[in-house]
Amino acid sequence: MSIIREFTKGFYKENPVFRLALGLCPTLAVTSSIENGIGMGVAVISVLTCSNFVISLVRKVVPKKIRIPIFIVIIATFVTIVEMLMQAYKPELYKSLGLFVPLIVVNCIILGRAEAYASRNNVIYSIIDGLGMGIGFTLSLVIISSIREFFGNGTLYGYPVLPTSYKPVLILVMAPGAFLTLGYVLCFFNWLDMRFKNRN
Amino acid sequence: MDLGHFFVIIIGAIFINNFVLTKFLGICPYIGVSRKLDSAIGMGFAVTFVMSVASAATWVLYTFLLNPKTNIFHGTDLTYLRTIAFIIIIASLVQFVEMVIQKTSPVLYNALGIYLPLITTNCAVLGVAVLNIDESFSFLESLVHGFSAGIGFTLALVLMAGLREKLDMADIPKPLRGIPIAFILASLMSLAFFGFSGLSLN
Amino acid sequence: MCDILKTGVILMIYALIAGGSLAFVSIKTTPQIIENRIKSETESRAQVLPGMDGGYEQKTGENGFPYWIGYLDTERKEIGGFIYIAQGKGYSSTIKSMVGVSKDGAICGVHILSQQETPGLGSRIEEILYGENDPWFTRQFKGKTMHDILKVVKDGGDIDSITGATVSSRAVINSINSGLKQLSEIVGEEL
Repeated sequence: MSIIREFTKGFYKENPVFRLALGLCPTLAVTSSIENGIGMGVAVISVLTCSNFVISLVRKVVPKKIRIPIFIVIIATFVTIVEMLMQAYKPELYKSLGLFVPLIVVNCIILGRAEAYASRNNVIYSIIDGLGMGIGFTLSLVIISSIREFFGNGTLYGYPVLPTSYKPVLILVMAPGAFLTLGYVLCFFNWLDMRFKNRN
Repeated sequence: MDLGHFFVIIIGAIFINNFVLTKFLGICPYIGVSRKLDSAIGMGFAVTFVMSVASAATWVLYTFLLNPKTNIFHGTDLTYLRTIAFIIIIASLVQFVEMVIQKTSPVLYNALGIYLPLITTNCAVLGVAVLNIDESFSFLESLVHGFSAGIGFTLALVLMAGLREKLDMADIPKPLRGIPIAFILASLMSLAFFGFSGLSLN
Repeated sequence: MCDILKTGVILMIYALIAGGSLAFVSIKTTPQIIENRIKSETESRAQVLPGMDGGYEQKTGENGFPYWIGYLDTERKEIGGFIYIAQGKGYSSTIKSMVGVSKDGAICGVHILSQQETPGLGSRIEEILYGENDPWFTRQFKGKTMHDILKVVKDGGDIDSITGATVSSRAVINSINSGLKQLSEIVGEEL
């Protein structure tokens, strides 16, 4: 098992959003601007890395029968810590992410990694896995939010990049646009995957 | 009791602020369990049930134990335990419901059983519990809100399943098959529900 | 039975550790969170009614209408103006804003406190154009008094509404209007 491969698998090969279709609620809800997408991504990276670390640390003293409740308690603790820190030091971000900060608890990526990886592997690998998967998740948020912000608002990370004569496609920053963008991006990755397979 | 007020909450939660289509809550089951109409209906009712009971249970917990203004500890602020307490309540509630249904009604268990464990990580359930607190709803309002949000979820899920059953027979470009086309469908459905958002209910 | 007890105790230990660490972080962050709230409140007050060296005094009028009195001097003798909270139902949410009114009854500033209007349409009531530092929509209210007709252009007034979001624009205007009326009833003789 090479550390580099464990780290980078979340970027494309096992990307949580595009390949495994996990964590879709925040992917749709917070991607109307790149800033929000990155904020959510960083929050998930920290929760995922910390919970992977702790779960891997205690994996031998957790009775099999009650492992899920214990994982949930650990994850919820880190989510609340991130929530409080964000409220204290990034109040603007906290305001715009709103409900979706406490909802990181039920983000399937985190419980999924705890169950499938951290409870079976050692501490170092679990941290690497958490970091890699978290970055993979953030990458997908950035891809989707860039598309939505660029076409829907004419800006990138808040900076206007299109001439003022451009009339933004408003629907993309609204709810239907979130579904539409994700649908087409998923379609693109499927197509890419098929091309790869055909070539080999 | 003002019935009109409850009407506003019900219509609001089902149509105007539909959990799936405008609030993006419960997307995973919405995409994952909408391949067949039967399973969609089963999942929908299981979620509606858990959401109603969870709304009531978390409201009681928050009001009497966590909120410093109303709790029994005379003003000790325990609101930082909100997320952890809610998720534990929901997880044990789901487990409990599963056990009760298994013992009392094997028919219902066969129909809903496989969906129940999935509901713990359904963000619509935790979402409705947190929203009830954010909106400072009363007990009855929370219960009604939880129930109607569940109905809204069921409505979106069943509509989607009906469409996807038809879609199986359509000739769709290969890369779009499965989840991508489901999202594009969801986008159109969300656009349709968008029309409700101008409704002014007062 | 013994098994249940054992798992129960293990779960409890985890929950206690979790609760304890949360309590610790909460104690560490609460002062900062409160400071943020106070800071943002004072900042928005200073924004809508600037130049009040004597600070602001919170009052509650009849039927619970909250407002602040701004004082020009530190002894709090000379009243410089008033601040009130305007609230109105927009397209998809309640729009809450803070309005500063000078002593002679002219609006000094409007600051949107909270809204969840449609992104890209109604939520542009808070839009700050690139290179500017305050929202263009609320800037239009500056200098208007109770006797001016506060209406969008479409209704025969002179406030530019947001394209495609007349409902949100009207909601802001109407809430400011009715708040202004309430304020003048309470502090009438001073306005």
